[in-house]
Amino acid sequence: MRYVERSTGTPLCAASTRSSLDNRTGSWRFARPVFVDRVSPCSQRCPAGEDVAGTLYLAGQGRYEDAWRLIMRENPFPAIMGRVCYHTCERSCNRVEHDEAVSIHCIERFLGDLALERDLRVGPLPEPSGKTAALVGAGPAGLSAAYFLRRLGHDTTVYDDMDRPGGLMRYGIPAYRLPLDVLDGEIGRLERMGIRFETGRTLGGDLDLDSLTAEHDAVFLAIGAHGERRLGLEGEDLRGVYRALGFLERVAEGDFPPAGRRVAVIGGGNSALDCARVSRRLGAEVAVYYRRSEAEMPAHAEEVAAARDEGVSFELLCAPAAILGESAVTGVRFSRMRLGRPDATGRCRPEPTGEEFEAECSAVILATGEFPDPELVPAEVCGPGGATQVDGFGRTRLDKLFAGGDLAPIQRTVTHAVGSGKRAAAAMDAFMRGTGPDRVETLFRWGPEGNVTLDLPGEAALFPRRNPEAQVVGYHALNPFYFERRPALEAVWVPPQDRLAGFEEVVRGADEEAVLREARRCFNCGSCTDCGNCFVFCPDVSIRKEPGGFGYEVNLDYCKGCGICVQECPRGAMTLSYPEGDA
Amino acid sequence: MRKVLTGNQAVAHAVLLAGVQVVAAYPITPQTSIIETLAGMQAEGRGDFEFIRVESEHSALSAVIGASMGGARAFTATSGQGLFLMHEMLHYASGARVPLVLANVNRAGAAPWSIWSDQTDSVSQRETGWIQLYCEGNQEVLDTTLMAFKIAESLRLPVMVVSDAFFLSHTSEPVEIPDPGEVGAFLPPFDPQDLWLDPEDPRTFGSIVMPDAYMEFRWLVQRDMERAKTVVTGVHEAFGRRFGRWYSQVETLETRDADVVVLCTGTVASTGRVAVERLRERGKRIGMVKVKTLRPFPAAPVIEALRGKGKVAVIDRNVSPGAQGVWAQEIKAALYDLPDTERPAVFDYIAGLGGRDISVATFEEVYERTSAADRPEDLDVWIGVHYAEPESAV
Amino acid sequence: MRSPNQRFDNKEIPEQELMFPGHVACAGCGASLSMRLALKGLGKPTALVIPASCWAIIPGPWPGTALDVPMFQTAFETTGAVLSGLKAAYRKRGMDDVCVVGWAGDGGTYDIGIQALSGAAERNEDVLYVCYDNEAYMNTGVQRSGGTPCGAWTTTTPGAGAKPEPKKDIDEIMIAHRIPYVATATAAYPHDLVAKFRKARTVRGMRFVRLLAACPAGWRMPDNLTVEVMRRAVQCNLFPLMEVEDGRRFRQTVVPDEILPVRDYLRMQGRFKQMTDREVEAVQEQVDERFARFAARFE
Repeated sequence: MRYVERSTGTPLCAASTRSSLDNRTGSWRFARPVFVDRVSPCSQRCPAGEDVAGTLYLAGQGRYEDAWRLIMRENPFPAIMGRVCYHTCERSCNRVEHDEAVSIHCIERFLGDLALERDLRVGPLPEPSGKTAALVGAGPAGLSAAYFLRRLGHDTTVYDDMDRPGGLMRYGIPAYRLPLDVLDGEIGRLERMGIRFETGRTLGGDLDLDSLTAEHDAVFLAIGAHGERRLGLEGEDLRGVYRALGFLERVAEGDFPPAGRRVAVIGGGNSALDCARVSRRLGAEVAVYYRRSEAEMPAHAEEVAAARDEGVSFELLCAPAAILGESAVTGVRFSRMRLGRPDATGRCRPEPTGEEFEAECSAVILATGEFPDPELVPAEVCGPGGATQVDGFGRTRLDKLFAGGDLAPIQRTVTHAVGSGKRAAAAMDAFMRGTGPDRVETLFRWGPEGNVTLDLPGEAALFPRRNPEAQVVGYHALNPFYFERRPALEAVWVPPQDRLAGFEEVVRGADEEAVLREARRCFNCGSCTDCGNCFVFCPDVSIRKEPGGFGYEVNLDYCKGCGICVQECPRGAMTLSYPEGDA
Repeated sequence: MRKVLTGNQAVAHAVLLAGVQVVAAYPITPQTSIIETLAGMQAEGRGDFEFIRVESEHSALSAVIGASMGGARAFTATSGQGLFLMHEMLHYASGARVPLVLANVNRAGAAPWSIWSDQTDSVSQRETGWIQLYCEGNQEVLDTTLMAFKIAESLRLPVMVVSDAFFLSHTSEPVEIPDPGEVGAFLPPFDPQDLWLDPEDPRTFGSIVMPDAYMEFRWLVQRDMERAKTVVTGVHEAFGRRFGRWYSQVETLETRDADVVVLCTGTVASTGRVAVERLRERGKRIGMVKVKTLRPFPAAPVIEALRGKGKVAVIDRNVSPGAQGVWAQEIKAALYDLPDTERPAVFDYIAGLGGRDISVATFEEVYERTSAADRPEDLDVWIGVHYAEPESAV
Repeated sequence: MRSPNQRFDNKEIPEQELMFPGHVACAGCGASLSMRLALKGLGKPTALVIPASCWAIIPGPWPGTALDVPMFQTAFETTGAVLSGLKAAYRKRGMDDVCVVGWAGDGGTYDIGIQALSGAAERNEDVLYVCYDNEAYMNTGVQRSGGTPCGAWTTTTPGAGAKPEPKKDIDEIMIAHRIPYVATATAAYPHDLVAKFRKARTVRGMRFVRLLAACPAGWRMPDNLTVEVMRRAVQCNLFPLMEVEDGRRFRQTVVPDEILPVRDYLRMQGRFKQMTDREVEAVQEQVDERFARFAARFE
């Protein structure tokens, strides 16, 4: 800008001698645009509290390693999540109202796989705190808590009764959904961080809670829910009758239980379907029997569809009355059911119609629900049904004792378990450092679901947020004009007829080009992505680059508060503020 | 080099000699042959100027204002209706201080229509801030057009060179065309200094000016019009020294002992020289004052020429309806502060409107009527008007 | 600034500013945004000629200015003529690379300025004439012009059945002059606008660009919807974005994903509040008919 004061006095004609910079039109303003960082609905819904909008931004820029690091701030298992998480994020994705949800899980899987391929590690660990923590249970909750505690500088040891860590991730989810090399890869990373593992240690056997509590500064109990309910059916103990978790555990260990020609799976949850699809791979005809209608099945719709594709048939509205056979199972007698009035959970209570039928089978798998073992949980913290009484951060009323995962009353998914472990790690860290419970509450929360982002030391901000607000951005807060309608990336499944040959993964990973394109479908709701719309559309040249280089700031000397920038922000990362008095 | 030229051709030659870079003009009788001559010169490769054949006179003046703001020496020409149409932009040019030269061929204004000689068009532009120079003959036309550029560029005020329709524009006379080298020495290339649209030094010209600043710009125009009195004289003298032809803003002829001094302008002065000679031969003590400049009005030399004279008879080839002839008004204003004993009586005679002839007989009548009366019969006396009251039905 | 996951990647918008803040346009002024973006497309060296209009006032009163390019303010009707003279001067002085740009409103183009514009076009002057069209004499307080659309309220057409005459089709008029380049653009599509100015700079001969420049004050709408309303004008085919070369080769430069009904555009603006549904339907017919006339010629 060249303007300097020229001659004093009047020039010969009305030629300008100064610039309009003298005129600070900011005084005209009665509203002020403000850059805010709001919560995207996907991040809000993520049970693990991942920064989905931020991750997808980085992936969309081709910064895959940074995107992976951002996930790793919130969740240590992206490659696993991309395969087994039921992506509630996608259901709440604002893109649903525009065209189709972003295939967030495909992208997450790609990033996790890339990190495994490149053997990426997380950033340097901080100074040791001098504190030690014990994690009982090497399932997703325990591993997650261990991971975060380690990143916060604590000494951690994970105990588990099985031979290998992983919990249900290894022993409950079949390999065609979660390949072992992926699981081992992501758990292996934890080992390389210096987390100690002691497998083959059983709580209530050679492992005792009191000793652990004495030896460590905090203990996290995350032994899961492995108890399987007896139905009280005649023939429940015949040979060929299996419990779902036991069945899957044997399969995971390579010890395939004899299933025979025809398998009947009782139950409608994800475990039931896992059992069904595994049985198909063992060469059996499989039918799943569920006492309510398909709409009420707790299993994920995707699983149901996959099972159908793999030849599993479904019999709905029938409950087992008796298991038939002499010493081994030959069949099951079912009562036909109809849906009655809703129960306490709001689901319709099934009522027998009186009709019955029999189905032949050579094996029965009972997959009717699991519960935590009350014997292993201290009585003082045991709640109804064996669940442990904890607050939102896994704190129990007992000193030093925290609990989470399926032991706690959370939704029973891997992702919820990871979130549970992270929140407990936050609470344990505060407890061990003596910073008091309030410190935990001040961490930045992703909206009302209650997940937290931990203040991990030594982490440079991968995706800076200057002015966070807890408000969730809905579709109406966006400017959808800026997004062309494009179909979502569809995961490629192995054709059903090719799947049953073995336990190879059934969903293929997407290639980089497809992932990049898909990541760019993310609106990045509520987060400034330095797109520049505000800068481009300001009639008053009053939006300028942030000195730090990312994003923009308002030049309050000149901004007239018209609000065009807020209106044209594609992703709801701006608001118009109407302060009293001085704008 | 001596050639027989019409007044319009003389203008064109001057424009060429002056190294004008941009011409924009619109045809109107009797100016048209100025631009036709220029077009012909360009077609022959004799003129290296941009010639914009605009679609109206308003656009002609606007275009040359634009050209001048681009730092080029620019010129336009018009007449009568065309000058009226330019009126808005005449104000604009002087306020914007663009050093333009405009050749106006004095033509009567409509309604009713007339294409013949009359000063109403140029005198109506008195307030526009243009310097106005009136010419008596085609040599003066050529010479004054050259001088106009120098005057305009020294003061950064636009200059109008006025000649009479048909009497000069279309009448051939022998004219000395100066040597281009001499003209080049007299009139160097235009230097816009810092008042032009320089891409290297971006400024805005002509923004609105608030009441607390506007008057100063107008004061500067007035100040430079005042300076113009000296500059015009100086340029005429410099021209005389170089080219040997001398002009002045006020010229007197046989006024020393005159009992009636006739004041006239333009070609009327040319007739006046013959009239003075003839009437003097018959013993009439008539004198003549020729005034060249309407703006800036040369009050001092006018006072010098007329003080102590008993009677001044102004021949106005124009009238300001509701008042009187414009030159008479200007003269009276200039003479106002003279003591009574030195202030002549001013007689205003309206003659020659719409091209009606002003002849020696006109001068005779003016002389006789002025001599016969102590005071003017009327504010303005119209010579040679035949008006017959229409017969009423009753 | 990069926006690869958006419709337009803003990295194509030049970052250099040739306009300063502190100008006195109303908050949300479409014309000031238009100038800002046009200058980004033009770059230097450029000289502007601006007649009486909002943009005569927007730079601020003397002695300040909001422009970092030389600018000459001129009388209302003279833009086309002054451009001609200015360009001739630059050409004579060996400065032919200076892009000479007129920046006039609809009044100064459709009405009082049409003679000078047509004259310059007929002479194929080597200048760029930009009409920023806010569809009324806004600077003097919203009076009707030849560019005011059918049915719009203005202070001189305040009643029902206001301004029954259709908007003068200045695009067709300029196309009929067969000048090398005629285009329409609007700041709601900044990449299209910037590209057109970049291109216009390189074309020799007369160029005419009409910008739809929303005026929240005169159009009676909130000042944050300026860009939105200009966008809708394009999306309902009321203001197709196009280029016409030599009056013969027509091209639509932005094709909207979906065409909105013109009602969506009209009902955003208070100046059309008094229009009946019947009148709105009539406008839809006019819009469709006019667009069809252009569409038949698009390559």
